[in-house]
Amino acid sequence: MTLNLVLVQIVNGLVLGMIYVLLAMGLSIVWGMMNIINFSHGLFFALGAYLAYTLFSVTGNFFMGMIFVPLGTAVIGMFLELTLLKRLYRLNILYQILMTFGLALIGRELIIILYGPVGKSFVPPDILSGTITLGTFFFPTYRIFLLFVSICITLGMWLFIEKTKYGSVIRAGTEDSEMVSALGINISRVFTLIFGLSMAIAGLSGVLAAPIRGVEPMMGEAILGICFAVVIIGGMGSFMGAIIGGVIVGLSQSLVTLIMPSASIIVIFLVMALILLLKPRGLLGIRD
Amino acid sequence: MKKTLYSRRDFIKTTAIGGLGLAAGLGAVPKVARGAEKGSIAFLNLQPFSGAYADTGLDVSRGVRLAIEEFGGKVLGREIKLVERDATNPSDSLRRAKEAVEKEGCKFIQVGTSSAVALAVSEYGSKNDVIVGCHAGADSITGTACNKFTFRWAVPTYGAIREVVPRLIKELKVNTFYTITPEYVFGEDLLRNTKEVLKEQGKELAGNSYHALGEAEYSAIITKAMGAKADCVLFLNFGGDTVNSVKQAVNFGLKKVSKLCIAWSGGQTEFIAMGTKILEDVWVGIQYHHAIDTPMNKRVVGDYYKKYGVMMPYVAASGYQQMMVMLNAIKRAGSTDVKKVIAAWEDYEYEALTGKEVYRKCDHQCIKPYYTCRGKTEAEKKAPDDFVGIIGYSKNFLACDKTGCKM
Amino acid sequence: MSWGGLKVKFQKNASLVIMVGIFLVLPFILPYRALATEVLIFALATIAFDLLLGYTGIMMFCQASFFGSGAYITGLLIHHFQPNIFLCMGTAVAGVALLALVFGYMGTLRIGSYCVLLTLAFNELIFFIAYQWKTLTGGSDGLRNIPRPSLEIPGLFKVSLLSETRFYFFALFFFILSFVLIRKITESPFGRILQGIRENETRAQAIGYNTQLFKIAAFVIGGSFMGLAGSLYAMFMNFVDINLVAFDTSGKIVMMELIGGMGTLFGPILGAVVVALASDIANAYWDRWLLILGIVFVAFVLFARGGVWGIIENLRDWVRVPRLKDE
Repeated sequence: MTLNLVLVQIVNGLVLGMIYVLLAMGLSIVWGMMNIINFSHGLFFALGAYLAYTLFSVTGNFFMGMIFVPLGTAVIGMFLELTLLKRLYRLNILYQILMTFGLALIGRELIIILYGPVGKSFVPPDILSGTITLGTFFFPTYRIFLLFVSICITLGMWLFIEKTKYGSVIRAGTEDSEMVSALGINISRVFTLIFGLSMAIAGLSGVLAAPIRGVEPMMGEAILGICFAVVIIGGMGSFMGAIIGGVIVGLSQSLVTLIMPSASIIVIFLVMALILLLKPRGLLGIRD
Repeated sequence: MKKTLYSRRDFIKTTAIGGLGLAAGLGAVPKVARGAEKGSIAFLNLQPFSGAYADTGLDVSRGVRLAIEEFGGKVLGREIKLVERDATNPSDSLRRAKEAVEKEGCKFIQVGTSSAVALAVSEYGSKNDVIVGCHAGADSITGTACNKFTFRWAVPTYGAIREVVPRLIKELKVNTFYTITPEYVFGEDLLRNTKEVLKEQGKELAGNSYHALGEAEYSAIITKAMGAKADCVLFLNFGGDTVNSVKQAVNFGLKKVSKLCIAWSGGQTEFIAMGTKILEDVWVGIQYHHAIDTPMNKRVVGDYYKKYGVMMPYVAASGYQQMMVMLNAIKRAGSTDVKKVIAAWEDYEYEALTGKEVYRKCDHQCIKPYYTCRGKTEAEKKAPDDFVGIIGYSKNFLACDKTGCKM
Repeated sequence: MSWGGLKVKFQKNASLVIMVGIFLVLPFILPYRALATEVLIFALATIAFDLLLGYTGIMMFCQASFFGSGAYITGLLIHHFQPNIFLCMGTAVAGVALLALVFGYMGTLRIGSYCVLLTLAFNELIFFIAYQWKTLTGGSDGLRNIPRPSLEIPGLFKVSLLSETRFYFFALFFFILSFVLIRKITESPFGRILQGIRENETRAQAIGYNTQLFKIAAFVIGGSFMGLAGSLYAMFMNFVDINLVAFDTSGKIVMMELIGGMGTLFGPILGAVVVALASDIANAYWDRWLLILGIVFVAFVLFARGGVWGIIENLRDWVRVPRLKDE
């Protein structure tokens, strides 16, 4: 194992980590503000990938997918929130968990019905295919692109949350949504918009991840567990926590793969369990 | 409503449920048939019809149906009743086997491509006097887990590797190999055989990378493989893993460094998922190819094309061939008595899609060739689904006393 | 005993008698015997889960860990040693009880949704161990060569359980025993406290109960019965499928519980019947029937949170002429 290999794996880990960061941001916002553990978050990731695939097959344009697919997943998400989830808010959060769990199942089956059970081929657009030389290794241009784009989006989200009026509502709501409502803000509408935002980011990560991971029906379920782990490790409700958590998990996955491939996922769950036991707020969490 | 003691309403409730249940049971569900329908012989086809391998299941089913059709839908003057059930995991498959045995008096099962399912059903068959034709590749099916009631058409890993690796060495002058192996019994078998062959041929294994089954992310492995600069990178995985790893390898530019070879290909499903560009000049080991030059193959491929509009994929050929053999064995035995059918089936040489084949008596393994193919360029393709061309083939099997099979 | 008391006792046991009656004929009315055994064993697992979710309010995803571990322990004992059947079952229950103790302790350290996620992570861990430890569990190929033991009390009698029907009635015996035991628990003071914890854990703590201890106890009891179900399943299939410890099995039990009706003990039985029967029949006709199951599940979460049992209850109320409303 050379230093070069480890360095390349670190870059790979960062790329992987940024996808997790994007997903964790969405999951964390919904969890923190609406107290929903969204078991269908992975589904929207898969949906994003599949919609991008369809758009790409029809138009041949990948970049259009980056704009329209998140809008699409946001709309679907908001629709589901308005029609289904809203009815369950006054009840035990158990039912919200069960609802999202059921939606994930339905979504996955619909994808299989529409697109077939076998994964689809998805190659990066021509401009982004090809490789860059990193030391003595080739490295796909697309992954560098992904790293760049996801950092930009994360920065954008940070600016939105820290510097705008809307962002302050999110920050306040994550700490105490009841108080926000008491202060006169239509929390119900905010919830819908937040859910939409969360699904938009999830969809976007699906679009970005598709050329690397491919498009297959189980991709949502496969990544869901890791998303939960990231949010728990980083700390639910914390923006920086999502970033730290995502990067840690991504790096851990790619570095453990060098030593023992099959352990790369379980290590993440072990760390998650440890954090839950020792520091349930997560590394940077603001509340349990 | 508070539930403290069981009151009268609970009494009524349970009666209602009882009534409902009984009505549902009697009304909605067909009567339990004791034994087979008058005259027909039941065959159970257990394939994955849902889940990740659903396409495989459909193709096997098509092959099986084609064989039944060619047989005239009858054997021994009795109608062939094909019962098809979804078998994505061993528990469901075993339950379906029990269902078929109980309801239809079924004595003949074809079971699909998952090793776990095939092994479980094979054992069930041996304990319940049911003949099981397996379509899975695990060595143990005709090795350490063999039994008198199980037969298997596909070439196990020993034969697959002993065709592909020597051919790579011979045709491409390959000296060093790098292997990519799924951490899984099957992957280990392929790797073990590869190492043995390399030792015999005096060639070097530059390195090996394991990956988890179902892995989506291969950048680490590909980076290592590129660093090893082997003449050939041998992919010992299959299905979705092969598609992902080969695609990512090509995207990383591995083709510029090494020759790529897939030792155990699932055929058309994988080819379609990868696409021509990726598959170009990739070498592929496979159980069957539609361009095999025998009169029977040409005819059956033609029939399949007429019926389904595509070239017959390997799993369909597997379904067709093994079903044909099963039906012929019953015909030759002159009865559905399981012991007689087994005796008629084993050690009988017959004309097959791949030429002459025989299921040998010692382990019920079919002796047939394994094929090495090469991925065609867009220009070379004669049809949209003509992804690979045959380079060579051979028959390689362990001697009876070396398989670990004791029947 | 007063006439009123006798009447109550009769009614209380009548529901049990009717349920037993249905189960006695179940193998003969369902399409095939093995389906009845499948329903029975999963009904047991779901009732055990009901104790946790329906009565104590604990949501978890490690049902498969308990069920599957019970199957593996029994399977391994039979595979290697072929001991007496009761030893196989007893060891499995004891082993799973221990596992449930560990999971329960860690899962109940804090209140809230924390338990859901921790048990999810634990379930993944158990699956990983089962998958990796191939020499012990057979990995993804599963554990084979588990001949069905005979019903035997050494020195007294030995009865073969090879016939599907015989095994069903053997399993039924343990099912009824478990049901009665669990029902007794829910009706006992201990059971009341569990329900109190479900209603409002903070208040239960304020009254002075160490709720964590009670929750751990619920874990151990519920887990043990799930382990018993798993043990029976290993002997039923003569095989241990690795999917028995996978998340999907946990999800299946959750669906049976919700669709059947939480906190009712009879609800889970209905849930198991409905889900197992529907899947068996639907599976033969449409490969994508899981979609229907998902839709039905979501519909129940929205409109029929009391499950099928709740629907029947509502139907009865609707049909009945309202007299004195007693709550």
